[in-house]
Amino acid sequence: MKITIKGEGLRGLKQPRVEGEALVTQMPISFLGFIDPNTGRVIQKGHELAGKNIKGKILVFSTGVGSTVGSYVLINLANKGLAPKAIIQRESDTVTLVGAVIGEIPLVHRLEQDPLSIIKDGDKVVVDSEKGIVEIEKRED
Amino acid sequence: MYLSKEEEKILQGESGEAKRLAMKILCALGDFFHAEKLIKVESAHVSGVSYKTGGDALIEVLENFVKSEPKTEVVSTLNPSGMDRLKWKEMSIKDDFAAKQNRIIKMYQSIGILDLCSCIPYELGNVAKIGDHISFSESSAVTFMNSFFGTHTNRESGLSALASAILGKTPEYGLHLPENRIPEVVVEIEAKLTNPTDYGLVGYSIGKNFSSKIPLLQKVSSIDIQQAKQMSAAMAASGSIALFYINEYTGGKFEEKKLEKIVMDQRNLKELKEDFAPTSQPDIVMIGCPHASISTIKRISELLVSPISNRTKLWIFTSRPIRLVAESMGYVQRIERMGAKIFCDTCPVVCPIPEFDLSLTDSLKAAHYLPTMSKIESTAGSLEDCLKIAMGEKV
Repeated sequence: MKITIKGEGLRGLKQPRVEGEALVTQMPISFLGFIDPNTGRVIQKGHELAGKNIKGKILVFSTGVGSTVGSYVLINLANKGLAPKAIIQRESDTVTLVGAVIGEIPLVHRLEQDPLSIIKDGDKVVVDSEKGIVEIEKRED
Repeated sequence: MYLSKEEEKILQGESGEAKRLAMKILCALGDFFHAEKLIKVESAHVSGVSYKTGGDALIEVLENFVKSEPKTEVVSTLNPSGMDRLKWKEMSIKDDFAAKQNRIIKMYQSIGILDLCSCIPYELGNVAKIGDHISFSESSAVTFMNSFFGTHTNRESGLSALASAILGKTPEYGLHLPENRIPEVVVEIEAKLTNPTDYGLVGYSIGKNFSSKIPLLQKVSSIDIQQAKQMSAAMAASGSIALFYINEYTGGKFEEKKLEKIVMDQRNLKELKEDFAPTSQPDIVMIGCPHASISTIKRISELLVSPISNRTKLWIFTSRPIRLVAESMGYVQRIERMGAKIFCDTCPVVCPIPEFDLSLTDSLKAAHYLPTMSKIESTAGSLEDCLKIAMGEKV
């Protein structure tokens, strides 16, 4: 089953359209202290994603919280090839957005339907940041 | 977002690469958050200084910025770096780290950003009046400025604050608009808050429960600067709260009837205290997140009546100007005689702390970040309790 949802995307990226596997958390993310900058693995104890790796995933979360240095964490990951392929947020935040602008990471937010309830771990997701759309192919169970 | 002809030209690169990059960042923000236009800011405060948190990406991004030799348009200050610039060897910082850290600070200096290397710029001259627009990163300072000075700033990232420093502008959205500065939840504080750490505990809990809402705190008997610093820092660490009100103290008359209301009583505070209380002897005690004020350093010098236990270290963090005053008053000498260290230019969260097992701090923000940032178990208690334990009192 394929679903297309419209939202608002970050425009002007070199590669705005990407495809990947979803990694979803209901918890907000503070990139500083959340992730091991050398591997992309989530190290924050008590976080839903602890132990998982965000590298190459379509990372789906509500919004960014915590330290304002988080942008550099994202840019660092992007430069090392450890960043998520794209980010889908319920509502974006300055720290995540600026990280995405400089790190060239497609980002879509304010979708017409709640991405946190529709997208599940492992779903195949296409993000088109320029058009601001998300296409979801549900994983067959 | 509407751009003036002049702004449009900057975006096309006519004023150099740094200004183009800065405009690109502000435009992305403005478009994403539906700003109508750019507005002038009075000042900026820029985070993203520590090599530990920024890594090589920070150096690469800054190199791109400084190449075209831009200068700041408004008073701009720098957040803490990853080390004390004079005593970095005492912090077990490696030569390579120190070299990269100095390079980062030099690049910021070259554009005219004041190297205060402190998270409390509002105690050091970077202030503005009620209703002024500013562009601050450093989450604790954002919350403090919005809540206590009534200045208007969003939670900027280090890079968007740098963009504002260079252009003297920010997109008009979020907390720059009065309609977005209205309380969304009422928190009735029935618990008796007696010291800054209690305010931090309550702030931590509010940030955790309400993530990014604007809380209106009621029944708070009083609040001073130290308490406000701890509360702001804690709320902005566990959540992303950028503005709170304490009705009697920070102004504003609001319609409260329709708002969700929660109560925090003595039992809640006791539970929070217990969650963070140390159960074994810490091997490092850290004070100064946010940076210690001169009054706190004076108080520490009075409370440290015996030498620091040889099982524990005591590190205090502040800004260099405050340390200079504390030195000329003799506070520093008194504190150091007891075996403690006072570091400047850096803080417990952004410096690479050598190996310790268990930390104790009076700051909920530091307690929040230490386990992930430095792999040190963390606990929290009042300043008085921290110092007693540092002097050898059993936990």
